[in-house]
Amino acid sequence: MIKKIIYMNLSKIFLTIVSLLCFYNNAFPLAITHQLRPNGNFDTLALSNACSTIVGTSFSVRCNPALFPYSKGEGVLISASGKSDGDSIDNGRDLIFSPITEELIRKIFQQKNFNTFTLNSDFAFKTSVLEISYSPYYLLADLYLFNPAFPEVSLNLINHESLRLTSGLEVLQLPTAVAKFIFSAGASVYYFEHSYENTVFSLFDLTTTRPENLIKMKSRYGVGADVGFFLDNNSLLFPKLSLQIKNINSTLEDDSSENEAIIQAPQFLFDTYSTIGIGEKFQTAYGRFDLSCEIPFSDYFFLVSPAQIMFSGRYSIGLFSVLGSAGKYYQNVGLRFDSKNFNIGITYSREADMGAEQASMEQAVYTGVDIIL
Amino acid sequence: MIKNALGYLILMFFFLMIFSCGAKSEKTKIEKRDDSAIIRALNANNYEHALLLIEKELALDPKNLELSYLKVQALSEKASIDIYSLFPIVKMKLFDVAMTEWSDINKYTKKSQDDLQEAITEGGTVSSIDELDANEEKIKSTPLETITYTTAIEIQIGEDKYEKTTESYDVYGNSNAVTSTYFQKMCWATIIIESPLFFGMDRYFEYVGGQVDNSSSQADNCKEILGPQLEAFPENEQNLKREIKRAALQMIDHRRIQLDKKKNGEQIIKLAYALFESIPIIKKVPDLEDKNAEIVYTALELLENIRQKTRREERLGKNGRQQIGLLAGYLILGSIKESLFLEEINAPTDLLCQIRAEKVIKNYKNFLTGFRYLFNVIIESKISKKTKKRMMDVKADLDNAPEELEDDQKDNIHEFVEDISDDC
Repeated sequence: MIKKIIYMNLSKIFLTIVSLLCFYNNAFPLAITHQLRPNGNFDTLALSNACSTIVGTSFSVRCNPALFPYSKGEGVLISASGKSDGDSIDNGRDLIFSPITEELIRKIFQQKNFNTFTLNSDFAFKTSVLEISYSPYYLLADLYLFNPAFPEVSLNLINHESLRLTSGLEVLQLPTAVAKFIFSAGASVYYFEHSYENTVFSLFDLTTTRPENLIKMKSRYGVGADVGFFLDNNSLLFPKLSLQIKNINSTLEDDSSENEAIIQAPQFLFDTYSTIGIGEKFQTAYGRFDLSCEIPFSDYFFLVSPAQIMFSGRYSIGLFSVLGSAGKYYQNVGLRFDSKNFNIGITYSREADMGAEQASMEQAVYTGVDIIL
Repeated sequence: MIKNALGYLILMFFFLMIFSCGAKSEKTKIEKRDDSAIIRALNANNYEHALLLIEKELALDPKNLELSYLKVQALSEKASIDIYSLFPIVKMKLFDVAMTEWSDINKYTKKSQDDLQEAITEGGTVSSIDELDANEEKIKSTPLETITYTTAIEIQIGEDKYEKTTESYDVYGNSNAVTSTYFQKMCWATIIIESPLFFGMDRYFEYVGGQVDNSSSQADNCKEILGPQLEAFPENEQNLKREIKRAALQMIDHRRIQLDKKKNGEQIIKLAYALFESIPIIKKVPDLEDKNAEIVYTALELLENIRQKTRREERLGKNGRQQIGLLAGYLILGSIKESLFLEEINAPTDLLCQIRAEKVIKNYKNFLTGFRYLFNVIIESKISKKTKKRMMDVKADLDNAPEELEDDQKDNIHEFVEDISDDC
């Protein structure tokens, strides 16, 4: 029976694999991605969100709600993380506090024309059954300067506030001759208030118009959901697999009718997207190694962008962890220290949120702290 | 059962993968032009590559306004008109001067400008155009019988010089003209008439007089001649009042002409002062080379097309209009920079003395083109109806101006500059 089913779908499976190979070039020239995502922290950032198969950590549920059964701890957590240093910070500081020179202007247009700032904070209350988290601020500010002949600024400002309910459970166990498979599923449901302004204005507008007339924040409200699945096993022969759909029912898709070459379109952030994760864990006497690969798809497993495929690794021993990740546009190395009441982390990142459109990669430093009550 | 379940799981695992083959996004169905490569080239100051890409796209879609706009940006970079070349001006205006200093500077220059204007133009109270219009209406509507007036008399006694030529003929028919000069005593009275209808503008004069007997006392004779005439004045009061009304209206017309002259004088003063204050900026404007001017003309044409086809609130419409102002301003200021000996100007009064006539003539087309495009944008902006009308009058003159100067016009410019130089 299974053989029949497999045979019938073989051609479709083949086509599916081929479609995975038929990558698409980004149809949105100003597609912007971010490592620090809503519901993320410095761990997920250090791993470039390639963490949906890493179980038993304090950040596992952030990565994949299906990992909820593996996080048994209860308590209250206050978390904050954001960019604390880097080229964007330097450029912002130079522009605001220092005399503006032609060298700075030239550097901004030709090398550092995309500048971004992110900050995330949340309060979480976790029990063995569910987790409630409230994020008052997920702040995002992206500035893209272009066209030296008549300078324009493409500005995307976001504050995403959300209240989230997460839970998960082990669905079934499948002991086999070679391994024991454990299948779990989880989901998050969240209410969000999304304040944003995504606009373009010229340098001339800056000199003639008041900022409140140039930047008019709008708001959207709604309910969304994340769904995750995780297939664990206790054998090194089989990788761990995850499958997620994020931001179901998202009403925050890019609906700009303006020229998309200059309007920013955040991707894998508030829009509906899905991921497949493949990972493995190695527990040794000298610590634990986690390796993971995350393949993101737009919409419901529609198309994949190879540039967004991320590989990550984590080594932890005792209270100390080293995290790293690599992809075409992101390379991170992070350090994390856990203690009874707080965790701190710092991540050094080379990132190009604008992908191929960005003139050069940005060096950035992200820091984060978790306070455990 | 386990195998079935496993098979089920595997099937489910790929279910969504298969699903992806069927789904089609509406967005990907639409063919999108990718302007990002053009913008990247512009950011890297690689205008040649940008122009190449733009021309390729324009061949497929020649009427696309966004592509026209991008072409303008590439042409601007080619003509070296970008944030880098204009940085000194932007820095001066935006980045260097504190707000408190700006207001202090503005107050000082306003005071100096007022003083200079007062020194050169007429002093005293001059009625505004609106006041003159109101007075004219009052004059016209005043019935003759309600007109009042007062008179004052000034008597003058003098002599008029006459020449008399006498012609005689001798027996041979030859003419012989003899001119003799003689003086005739005269006396006349000026009757100075003042009336509220004149609104303090001026006075009206009537005259009576006559010749005095040369042999008698002029003073006594004047009394005899003028006395009856003055007693009889006015012979016809209705006529006098009619004359008063006519004179009042003439005064209004005369005052209007004076006012225009004074306003023109004020404008020239303001223009000279504005130019003088702009000299630091003009010095930093990039030099206007001939090849750059041609590129700017092409860019302005494209922008004008965009301006006519877009609304002001649209991005292309707003940017296009602003950039017309920038490029037209560059044409005008670059031409002014070339047409003056800037280093020799130390005061507003030096401006007229430092004109380079040959450069003014050479840049005539730049001035004309720049002002034409600039006025198109200004007229569209939010200005009063009165200002708009004046701007449109100026625009009409610009549109009717010759595309090139005739030889006699060039000579006039040379003469004008030479005449002024003589007084410097």
